[in-house]
Amino acid sequence: MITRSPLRPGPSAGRTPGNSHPAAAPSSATALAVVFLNTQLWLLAQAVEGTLRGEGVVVCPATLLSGLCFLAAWRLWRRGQG
Amino acid sequence: MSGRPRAAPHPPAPPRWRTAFPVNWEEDRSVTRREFTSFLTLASGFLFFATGLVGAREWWRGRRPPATPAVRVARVAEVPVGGVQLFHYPTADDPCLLIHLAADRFVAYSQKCTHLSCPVVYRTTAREMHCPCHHGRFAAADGRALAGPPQRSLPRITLTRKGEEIWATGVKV
Repeated sequence: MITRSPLRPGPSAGRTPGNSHPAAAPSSATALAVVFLNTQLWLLAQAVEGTLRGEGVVVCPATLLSGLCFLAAWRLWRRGQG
Repeated sequence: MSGRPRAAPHPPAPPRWRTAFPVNWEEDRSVTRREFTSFLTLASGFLFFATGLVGAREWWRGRRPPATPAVRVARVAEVPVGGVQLFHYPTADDPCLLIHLAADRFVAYSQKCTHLSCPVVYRTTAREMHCPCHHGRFAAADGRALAGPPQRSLPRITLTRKGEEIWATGVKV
C-alpha cells in the first residue's frame, strides 16, 4: 500500500517518472503499528493452537499481551491524531 | 495555394514503461499515513477481540467440566475383531473410537488428535491410530503417542461390559 503524508518533502523528493506523487515512506509510528499487528497475529495463532492442543494455559497470557499491543497501537494512533 | 486541409501530426508514442504499467496516477487513490495507521489500529482491535473470544471460550469450557455419565456404546456382536465403531462421549461434540482389538478386548479413545484436534483413524494392519493432518501415530493398545508432532497420549475412554453391551463410563486424560 502506498502511504502519503500531506506535509511532504521538497518538490523532487522520491518521485516516480511521469507523476507528481512522492514515493512510499512509512513513518516510525506506522512501522511500530505493523510490528504490534504481527505480534498480535502470532499471539492469536498461539491461542488457537493452545486451545486445540488442550493447553488452555497459553490463552490467558496471549489475550493479555494482545491487549497490551492494542493499547500501544491505540496510543500511537491517538498521538498521530493530535 | 491548395485548399486541402493539412493532416494533423501524429501524437508522440507513449513511453514503453507507460504501456507496460498502465497505472493512471491521477485516478489512483492514495492513502495517507494517518488513514493507514487508523486501519492498523482497527485491525489491532479486531485481533485483540478475536484472541479474547478464544480466551472466553476456553474459560467457559473450563468452568463447567463435562459430566461423564454411563452411555451405551455398542453391542459386542456389532463390532467384529479388528473393527471400529464411532461414538460420541461425554458430549455430542466429542467423537470417540471403539476398537475391537482381540477377542474380548475392547479399547476406546477420543478421536481428537492431541496435536491440533484433527480426527484420527484406526489402521487395522499397523494396529495404530493415525492422524492424517500431520501424520501423528498412536498405539492402539494404550493410546500413547508413537510418532509425529503429538506429544501426549490420546484420552482414553473407560469401558465397562454389561452382558453383551459395552458402556462408556469415564474419560482418562
